[in-house]
Amino acid sequence: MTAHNAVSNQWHRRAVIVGAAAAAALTVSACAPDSLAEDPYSRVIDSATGDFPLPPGAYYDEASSRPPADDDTAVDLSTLTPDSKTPEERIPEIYQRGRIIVGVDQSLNLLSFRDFSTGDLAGFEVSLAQEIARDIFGNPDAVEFRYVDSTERTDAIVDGDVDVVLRTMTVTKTRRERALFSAPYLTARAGVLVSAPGGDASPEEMKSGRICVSQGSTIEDLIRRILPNNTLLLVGNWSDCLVTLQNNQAEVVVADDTILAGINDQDPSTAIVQRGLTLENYAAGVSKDNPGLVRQINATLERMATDGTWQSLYDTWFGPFLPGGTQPAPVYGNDADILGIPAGPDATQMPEGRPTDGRAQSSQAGEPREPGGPGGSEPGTDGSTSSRPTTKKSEANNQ
Amino acid sequence: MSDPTSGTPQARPDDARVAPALAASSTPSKPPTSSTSSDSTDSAQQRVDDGERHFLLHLRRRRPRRSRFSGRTAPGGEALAEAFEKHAASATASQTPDSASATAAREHPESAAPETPHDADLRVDALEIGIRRGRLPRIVGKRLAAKLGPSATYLRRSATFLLTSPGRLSAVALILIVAILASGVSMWQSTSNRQKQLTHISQLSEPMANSSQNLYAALTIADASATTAFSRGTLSSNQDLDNQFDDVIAKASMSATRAATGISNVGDPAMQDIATVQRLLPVYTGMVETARANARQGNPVSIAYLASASNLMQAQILPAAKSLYESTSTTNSSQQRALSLPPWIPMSGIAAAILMLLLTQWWLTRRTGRLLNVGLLGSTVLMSIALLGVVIATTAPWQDSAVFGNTHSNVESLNEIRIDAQQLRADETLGLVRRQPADAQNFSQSIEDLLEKLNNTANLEHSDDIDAAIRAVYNWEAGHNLMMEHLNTGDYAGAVRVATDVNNSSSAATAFNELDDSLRSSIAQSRQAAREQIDDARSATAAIALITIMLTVLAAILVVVGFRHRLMEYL
Repeated sequence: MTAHNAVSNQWHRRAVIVGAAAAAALTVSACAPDSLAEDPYSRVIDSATGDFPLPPGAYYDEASSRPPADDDTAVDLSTLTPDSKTPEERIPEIYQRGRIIVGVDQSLNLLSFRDFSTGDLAGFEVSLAQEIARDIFGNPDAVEFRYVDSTERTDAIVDGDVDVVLRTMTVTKTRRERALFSAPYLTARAGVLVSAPGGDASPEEMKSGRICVSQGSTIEDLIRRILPNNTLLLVGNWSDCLVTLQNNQAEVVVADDTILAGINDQDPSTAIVQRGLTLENYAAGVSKDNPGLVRQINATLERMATDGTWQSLYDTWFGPFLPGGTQPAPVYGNDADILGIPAGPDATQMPEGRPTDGRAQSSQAGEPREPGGPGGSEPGTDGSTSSRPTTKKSEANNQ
Repeated sequence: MSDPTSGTPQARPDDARVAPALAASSTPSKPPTSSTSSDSTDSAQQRVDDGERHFLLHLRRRRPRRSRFSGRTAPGGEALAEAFEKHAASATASQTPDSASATAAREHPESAAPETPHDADLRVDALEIGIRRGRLPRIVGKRLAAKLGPSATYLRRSATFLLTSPGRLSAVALILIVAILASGVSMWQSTSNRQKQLTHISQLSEPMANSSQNLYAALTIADASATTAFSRGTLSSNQDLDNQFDDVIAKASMSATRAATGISNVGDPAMQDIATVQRLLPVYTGMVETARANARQGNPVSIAYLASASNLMQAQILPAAKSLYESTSTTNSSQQRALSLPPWIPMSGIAAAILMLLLTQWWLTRRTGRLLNVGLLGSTVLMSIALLGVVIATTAPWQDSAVFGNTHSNVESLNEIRIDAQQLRADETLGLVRRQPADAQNFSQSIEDLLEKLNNTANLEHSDDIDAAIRAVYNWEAGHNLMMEHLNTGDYAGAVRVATDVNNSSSAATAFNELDDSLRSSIAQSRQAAREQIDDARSATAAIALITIMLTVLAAILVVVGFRHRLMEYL
């Protein structure tokens, strides 16, 4: 009897379990059937879009989203005087290493880019770096190029990732607080480039179009000042602007004419519609711990001015697009002022007797580009002759 | 109480009381015709009693007691009983004694029982059989009770039968047969379910995990080779890299399609991952093609396109592919692991059936004095064989194998090594191309990790491919060091050559290709072995399903055989 009971108990328990499982199964299946009528994934497919992604790090921003920084392009350009020491004495670390590490761009046409027929880097700034290496090591190839984004140029100098940055770096007050600058090696003027399919460019696009600009550049603040109603597309590198232009992510590029010329060279369906918005002085950025390198670079720039290297480089790269460019004149300041109080007022650093230097310099830099483009307007041009830079240079040499 | 032999002699003195009981019992329930007669004189009743007594006496003597408990009645017994009662009421002795009448008499003993408290047999009858007036109607209502009455009676009689010895034997036999067959069916269902799961693994889960892994690998290679091709400069020398790029893109696209076939629920995260990859892959290739076209024309903007493409790959496509790879391999291995467990529930069913068989035999031995029941013993043996077979077939051969074991499977670890190696290679070349040389310390650390993992795998399962892979890792490290030397002397072109030249036997590119080939062939081998194991398991499961169902049917038949002799003794 007990065995029988045990067995039937067991069966009873199993029956209870089976019953519970069946009840659970019924509950589950009762919940299921409502969603089978529709096909939810078809909605996912319908809503799929094939947008071309923005370049890395790029984003849209209203021009009025933040107040523009003060116009600090009219800045003190004074730099350290090249002394009579040898490269070994000026920059012993770099000399020991046997090569100089230069931060450049990898895709900026005409200035610094990769030449696909050789795989090597080429461009005005690359040649300049090679000239600097030639003067230090006697070998133009003793350069290690590193790619730096325009947003990280100053950091690369401060962190010591590179010895020098040659990358369309405009001298500004803010940057001078963190780094030393050589004498300017190139002068550029901001201009406007629009997408003009079929060569039909209209300057009106500038009023409403989305403007591509490199974030953190001096141009960004310029646009926020003069076109506060437009939308900005802030990109990491100037070369991304052509990509966004070609993919209808922006209609307008505002950039330096050196950069715009490079873009126009690659895509014939663009047109430069305005020039001379500002004046930009490109200079080599160097760490504050390395004033010897500034002197070394300035010496090279002096040498390139006298032996005509600068002019031949300019003609090679920019001659067809921006003919008639000349080397900007160096302004040498007081060593103590530059190294000790870097953000001092301009007037105190100017050597006495030449109060018109800044103005003279801007006019001389702007003038040669005048015949270049359609609709070019040159605010501040005072019609000074192109002979003045030479005189200034000789003055500087005499100093 | 149920001894059939003692019933008859005892019944004799009681017969006198049976008749009044009959008469009394009919009184409340009968229609007016009989009620008038119940008011008639004692003499009339006495006459009836006399006739009835003789008739019932005769019945008691002739009918074995057992038949009462068997509850057998002729069809239409109720009608006969009514006829008999009418007959009794009209006080005419019946000429034809009918067993059905006697049965009918027992139908209504209820009211008689309290009147005859000393009749033990009748009282038992009253307890055991007969409609318990009042309870059924109280529960279901009078009309329904009238309808259910006969079947309720039948049920009650069947229940009564179960208390007899043959009834108990039959019930136990029935329970045993049901238990044995149920355990067999349960095991069969479980094994066929297992078979389905194994088929699902080898057709869907495992290929899905594998193609997800291939997808991730192909995408990593695509990105690295596209970027490297541009770093090499001269367009003509990029033929190999271009071809490699096109090949891996084709592989990636097909792998993603294959992986998508393993998805049943489109709301799965895996589906989203595949959709992301499939949606962005054409965009990526479009960008690379634009970069190529621009490079052909010498436009530096190609680098910007390539950087955008690479960013798309690194930021969106590869993470989706990685999450797909991780989720599918987790699903796959957890599914395989689940199958390495024995099917506990059906096994417990078989074990319960065996236990019941043993208990039954013990009970029978005590009851009948026979030590062994051949049928039940045979049934027990068959069920034990089935249980043992299931245990062995579902656990033993696979327990130590990596496919079903709890350890990390070989395929999985090799895949991880391959992905690590590809990531390292991508970091190396991309760092070179972007002129941001990777940290030398990190590289040698990663190489050491690779070697350690490879050695662990080699310890588990030694193969020539893994040896070749280990040698290739050393060569790669040497090639990398050579590249770093070039870089340290400022010879960038030389460093690129050492890093990417597949025709140079000492270059990092050659070493990496050797490593990848060895790993690929090793993965293919391990994978093939794993798939064969799954297939073996599938066949074994199919065989077990068939054998189990046959054994249980045989066992059930043997139970019938075993009980047949015991039951025959009562017939």
